[in-house]
Amino acid sequence: MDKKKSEWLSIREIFYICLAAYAYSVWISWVLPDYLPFAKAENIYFSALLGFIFLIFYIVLVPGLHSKRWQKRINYLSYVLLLGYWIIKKIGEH
Amino acid sequence: MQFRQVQATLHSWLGIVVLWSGFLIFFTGSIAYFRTEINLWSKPEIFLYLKKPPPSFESAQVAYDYLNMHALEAKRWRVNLANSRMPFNTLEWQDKTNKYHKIQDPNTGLILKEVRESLGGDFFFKLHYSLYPLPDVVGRTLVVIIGILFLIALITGILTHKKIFKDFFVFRSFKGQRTLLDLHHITGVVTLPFYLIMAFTGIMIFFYLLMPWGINQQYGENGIKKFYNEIQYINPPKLAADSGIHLKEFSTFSSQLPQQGSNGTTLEKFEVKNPNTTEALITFDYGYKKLITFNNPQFIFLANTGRQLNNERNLHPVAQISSATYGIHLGYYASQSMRWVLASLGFAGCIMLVAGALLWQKKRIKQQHTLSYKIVSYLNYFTFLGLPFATAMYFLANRVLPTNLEHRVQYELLTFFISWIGILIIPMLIKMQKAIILAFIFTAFILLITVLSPVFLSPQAFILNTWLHQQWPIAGVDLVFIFIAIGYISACYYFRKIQMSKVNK
Repeated sequence: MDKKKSEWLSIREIFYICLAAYAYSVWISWVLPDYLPFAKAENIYFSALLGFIFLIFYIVLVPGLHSKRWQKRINYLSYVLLLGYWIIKKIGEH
Repeated sequence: MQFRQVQATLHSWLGIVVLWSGFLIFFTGSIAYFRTEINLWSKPEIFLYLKKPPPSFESAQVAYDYLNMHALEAKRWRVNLANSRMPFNTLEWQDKTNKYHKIQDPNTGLILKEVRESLGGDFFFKLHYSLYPLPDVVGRTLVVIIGILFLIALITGILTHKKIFKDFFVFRSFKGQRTLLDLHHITGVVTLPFYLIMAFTGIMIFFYLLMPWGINQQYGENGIKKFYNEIQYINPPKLAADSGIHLKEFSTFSSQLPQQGSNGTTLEKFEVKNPNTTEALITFDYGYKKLITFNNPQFIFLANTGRQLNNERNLHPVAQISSATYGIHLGYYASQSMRWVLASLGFAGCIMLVAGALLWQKKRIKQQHTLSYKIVSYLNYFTFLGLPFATAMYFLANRVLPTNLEHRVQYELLTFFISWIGILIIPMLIKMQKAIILAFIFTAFILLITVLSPVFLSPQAFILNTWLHQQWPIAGVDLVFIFIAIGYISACYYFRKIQMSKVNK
């Protein structure tokens, strides 16, 4: 990787994008089974399938965004989403 | 930076991250298509009993009678019936303390003792999906992560190339970097559909390791078993309360079974859960021919009454996708010729990775004295030459280790891993160019020794003998070794030629 390229899209940035993609896909696979119209097992499998497809496209497409700031914002949103859902669920349990 | 450049950067980074582990998975997965043949090859003591197997119902009767006499207390029996690929019954059962694995002559019912312990081809299968001997969950999770990154590297690779099909028809030999790029393109395009499908189905088989929360939320902790029961069957078979304890005669079941399944296959295996208890269930499975799903013809009976149970398969499209991920990935539907095609595509993918890795190195030749470059070149050597060498050593160990050696399987594995790590000594002692040639020669030599070693140790397994007796599954394995050894010697010759032409320039 030459220096110019690595400044633009470093392995660290790719790692954070992958992490955010994983957070989004976990959220999808967690939330979606409650809203899909099939039977329980099919809902779970289908949401995991969608989660994986989303993960792949996220990693392929998000690095293409020109604005670094927006890349970061979209990445952070995944953590907020996942953490928020987890907190709401915990509160709901008590 | 343009979109295509971003994809190229992603392709390079993700490619290099999964390169070596990807090679391990491709290589072992390709070998695993022939694990049944390698399993047979790895037990020369049973070659003396090789005969054409009887019809599957007769084999099943023999196995059933044996287990009903010798494994009364077992929790479960599993029997793979003799067929043209593996002409012996393989019997597995488990009691409170031990697991048993026996090979049975389906003609006489004789259990073949004095057979060497060996994982044979199953070792490559385990290494492929769980990085055996790593703990199962850790290994599988790593394999899934590698699979995802590899899939993304594939997609970004497609997006990077402007003229993917034009490039496919171009190959410029002996042109250094250009040759590697052409080789990477050609093998990449040829194997693209295969690897897209294999990577995606592989990921989906183990989806519950990376995304377990959906299952946990709907079924509670450890709900995987319930989930798979529901996605496979609409009405899982239910037990009757009034059944006795003793199993029925085999003829009670065989009289209710068809000679052939709806897809034209014969009976392949059967399983008995909780034999000789009130909960005993027997399941008969026919083959997977013409099926890319796991929905093969299957018949379940109450083993104590002989009453057939309703086991309606889940045919919902989503359930079918789930079932197809297994069917497509494992290739049980494949005929012998199709297995060759699939394995060849797997090995072509290995060549794609090697070409990609060498290309990465060539592009950075100016940094050859940096630590990172050296690490990459050692890792390339370790993986691309070390793994085939260790594989050859594993096969040799199967042939030369004493038959009755205690913990023989562990010694075979030790041979594999020590020779794999040990090969790194060569480039540490001599120049990399010479080390590469030596690795080629050593691997070819070990493979040829493996083929020749039975002359003294187990003559019945010598290739001329197996050839003369037309034992093709066994002779085929040896022939492939000879073919690969010749390939390695030729590769060595061409590698020297390339080096010489560079020196002359």
